[in-house]
Amino acid sequence: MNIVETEDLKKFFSSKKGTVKAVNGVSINVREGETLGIVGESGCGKTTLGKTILKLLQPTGGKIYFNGEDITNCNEKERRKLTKKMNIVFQDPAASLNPQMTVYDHLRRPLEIHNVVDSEDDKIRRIIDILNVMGLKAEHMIRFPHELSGGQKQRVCIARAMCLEPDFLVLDEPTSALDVSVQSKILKLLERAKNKFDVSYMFISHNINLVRSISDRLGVMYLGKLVELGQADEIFENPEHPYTKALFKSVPQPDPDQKIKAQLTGQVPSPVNPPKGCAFAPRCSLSESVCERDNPDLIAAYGRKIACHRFK
Amino acid sequence: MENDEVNDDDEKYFGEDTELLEEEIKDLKEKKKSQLNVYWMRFKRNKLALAGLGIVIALIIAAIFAPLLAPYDPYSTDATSTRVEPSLEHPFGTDQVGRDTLSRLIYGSRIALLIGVLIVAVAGSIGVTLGLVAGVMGGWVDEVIMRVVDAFMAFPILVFAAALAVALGMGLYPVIIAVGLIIWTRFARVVRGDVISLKQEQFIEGAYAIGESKWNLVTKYYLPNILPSIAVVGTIILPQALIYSATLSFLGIGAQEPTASWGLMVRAGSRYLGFYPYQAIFSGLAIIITVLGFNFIGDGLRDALDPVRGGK
Amino acid sequence: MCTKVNKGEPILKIEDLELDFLTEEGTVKALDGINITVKQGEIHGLIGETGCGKSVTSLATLGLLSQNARIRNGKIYYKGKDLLKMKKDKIRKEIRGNEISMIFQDPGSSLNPAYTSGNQVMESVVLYQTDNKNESKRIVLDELDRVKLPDPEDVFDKYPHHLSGGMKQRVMIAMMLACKSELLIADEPTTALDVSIQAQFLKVLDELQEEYDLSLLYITHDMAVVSEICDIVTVMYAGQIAETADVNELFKDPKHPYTIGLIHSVPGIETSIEGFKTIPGTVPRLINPPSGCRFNPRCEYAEEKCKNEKPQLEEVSEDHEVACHFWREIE
Repeated sequence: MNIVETEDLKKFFSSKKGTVKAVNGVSINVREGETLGIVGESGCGKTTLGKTILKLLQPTGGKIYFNGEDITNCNEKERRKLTKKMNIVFQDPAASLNPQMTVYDHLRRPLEIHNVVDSEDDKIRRIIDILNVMGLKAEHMIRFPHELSGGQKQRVCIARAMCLEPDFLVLDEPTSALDVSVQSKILKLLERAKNKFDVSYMFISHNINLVRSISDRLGVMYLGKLVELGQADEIFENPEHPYTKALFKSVPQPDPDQKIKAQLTGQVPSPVNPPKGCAFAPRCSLSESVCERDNPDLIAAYGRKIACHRFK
Repeated sequence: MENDEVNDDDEKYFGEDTELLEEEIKDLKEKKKSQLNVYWMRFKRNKLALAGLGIVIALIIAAIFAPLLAPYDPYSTDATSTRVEPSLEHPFGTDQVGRDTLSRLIYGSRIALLIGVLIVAVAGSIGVTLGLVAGVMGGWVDEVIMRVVDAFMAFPILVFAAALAVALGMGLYPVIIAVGLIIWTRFARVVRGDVISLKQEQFIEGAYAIGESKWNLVTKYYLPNILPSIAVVGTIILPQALIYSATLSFLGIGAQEPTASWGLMVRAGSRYLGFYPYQAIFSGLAIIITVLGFNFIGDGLRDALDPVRGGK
Repeated sequence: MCTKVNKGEPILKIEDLELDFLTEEGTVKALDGINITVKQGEIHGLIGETGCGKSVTSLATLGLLSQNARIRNGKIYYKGKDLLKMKKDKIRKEIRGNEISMIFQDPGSSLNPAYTSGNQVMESVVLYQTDNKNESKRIVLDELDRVKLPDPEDVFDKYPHHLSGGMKQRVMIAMMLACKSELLIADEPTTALDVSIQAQFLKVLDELQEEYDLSLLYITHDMAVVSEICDIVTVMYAGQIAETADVNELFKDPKHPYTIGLIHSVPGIETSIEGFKTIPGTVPRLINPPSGCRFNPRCEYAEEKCKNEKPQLEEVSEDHEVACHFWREIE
């Protein structure tokens, strides 16, 4: 069963330079109980995708389904009701917390907004429970954000996102701002929480190795579109799309014997007025004339979905 | 709560080690005390700010304990000792109807504080509300409100206040309303600016993501973070308000005889400045010192709360 | 400063450096007697997490510390001369930007937005190489080409905000080459760059280093990058040196408990979450740091001695030193 499904989802922004096509026709799904990893470089639209799915941004086109229901055009009131079932954790834990609110204040808001507790005591009990699950103690309730370490702040953010046991969580680079040793703790915590609360994750990151360790399925994005989508292990073992191949080859491995083999030349074009045809064609060593003319659709091939003219 | 199905190895690392948490908590408790201390220390470093604080405290004491501190009744006249030179009996001399200047100055502190606080209250309620509305709603509402602000700021304050006071009748309260109606713009601008920069913060986005309503966003997220700015503007506006009302009193609008208002005392004293300057000098000094006191506090507050802008 | 250092000899030698910062909340003991040696022609990685002092070390070398810094002890030898004893003026004229160059994490803030990139590189050329305008322009184009920028003429005329992050970083290297610096300090130069741009940048850096026989102190928190280009690696923790080793030795046979913990937390070495090991506790605050070995509160092998005595760097093998009392007993 799909928790989340999008159909040709588009999100455009207008800027002085023109229309920024941040998400340019993405059809993707997140299955119940899975972690879908999303990787890509800057300008690929992965963060915008996550926010648009949650209706934090109003889609420009396409459709979004949550638990089978079409939420594309739901109004503000309905969106707020949905926040009980789907939520987000951002990259920078320090910026995500209100400096004037204590941990307690942060955690009781979701409970109060959705009216899930009857008494003050119940509220406190629930908050202590979620704090413990996240590896924090009851005493932490009275702390202000600046009195917590980076890792602790992120635990509070995750606690807040999960205290209502949502069905779906977008994790937007949740460990990128943290030290490596803290990162591994948070990742373990996320894994445990996922099993405990039965949540599905959309895990967005630019760290390929990290995504590998946590994802069931993987989506690779380039300039607002999905170029490859399928089982994570399979894609890591055998990337098929030329961009995916080149991207993986550019990742440095923490092993002195493994050096980066080849480099992608050039850089990602601007999402303002993307090139006609396949967005990756200008940098692709295998491109042909059709690649510059037509934009390839995401089609099924080799047990996964690939957007490339060579796979037909 | 159900137990984690987690094997022993992980159990140890699931949360943070309890021992270390204790140390951290002790550390944090000390840190919490010292955070307020840090503000106070920064404020203390500014000698002028401390002096200002002293002046205002003296003012408040004078206002509260006026009956105990003033040697004479501020309203009792004595035709035999009009315009007496400063002496042991009348340290600051007497006025044209024999009232003791020192006593009138002490009682005058009540009027000064009353005027200052009320004007700031009027200006604050209008200014903060409009600033919030402009900042939060944005768009055309913001444009309209800002044009209104511009219009009010273009008015010559004294002329407007004088006209309004005359229209509303003589006395203290019309002056308070008149000045308040003009200087609210300073609050509005600062509050709007703060809201606009807060809007970009990720914790606002986070609050939006957990389903906070616009009203709660304003009261729980924006306001608490804006309070320091409001406090600083308040302490800077108050002395300005005092000057305006003193000037209006000097012009004959505002406080009327026999009220012990400093502005009125300057007005009365100015008539015979040539041969008996003491009345005008001492009441003028009272105004100047009070205004400076509040200004110094305002500067000190701003530097203490926002050291990035203030000097180190 | 024209002394030539032979390959393999120390070009930068930091000895027992102790550094404090005076702040409102107390004295931050940022560096506790650190020892780092960078040899001529090597790429020396400096790795550690937040607060370990790696950035501060580079700032101390270049005399760029803030007003509230106090160097309590130690020496920083560059080509045999102690930089800490040098007059500020001399450091500015001869060392900074000339002998030793630095590039930072955020390329956007290192370049002046008011001048074209070509102009900025030319500044260095005019200062250190030649006065002739045509000659210097040619040199600049040469350097821009050397850092593999696709269209040097075009880049020359562009302002920094028209260049991408990766290109800006390469302009910085061009500037460094134009200065004919011998020691380059790079502080997290690729953290803000995309993976593919990072790969290009690392390749360029590697090739240039070989061609010009540069010495490079590469500061980062990214183990993967370290293993990609560094020859020797120094691991720092909370203002102390934990371990220094040849890069292969470090990954295959780390001796310090912190290094071991760190390596097992890196994605890529462990491919599944279950495999990640975690180091209990958190990095200490440096206002009242743990005594002795600052890692002792989090170390499973710690004993009394670790709290009382700061471990000195001991030799494990050639090119491998570790600061731990019990490294021999660790698996």
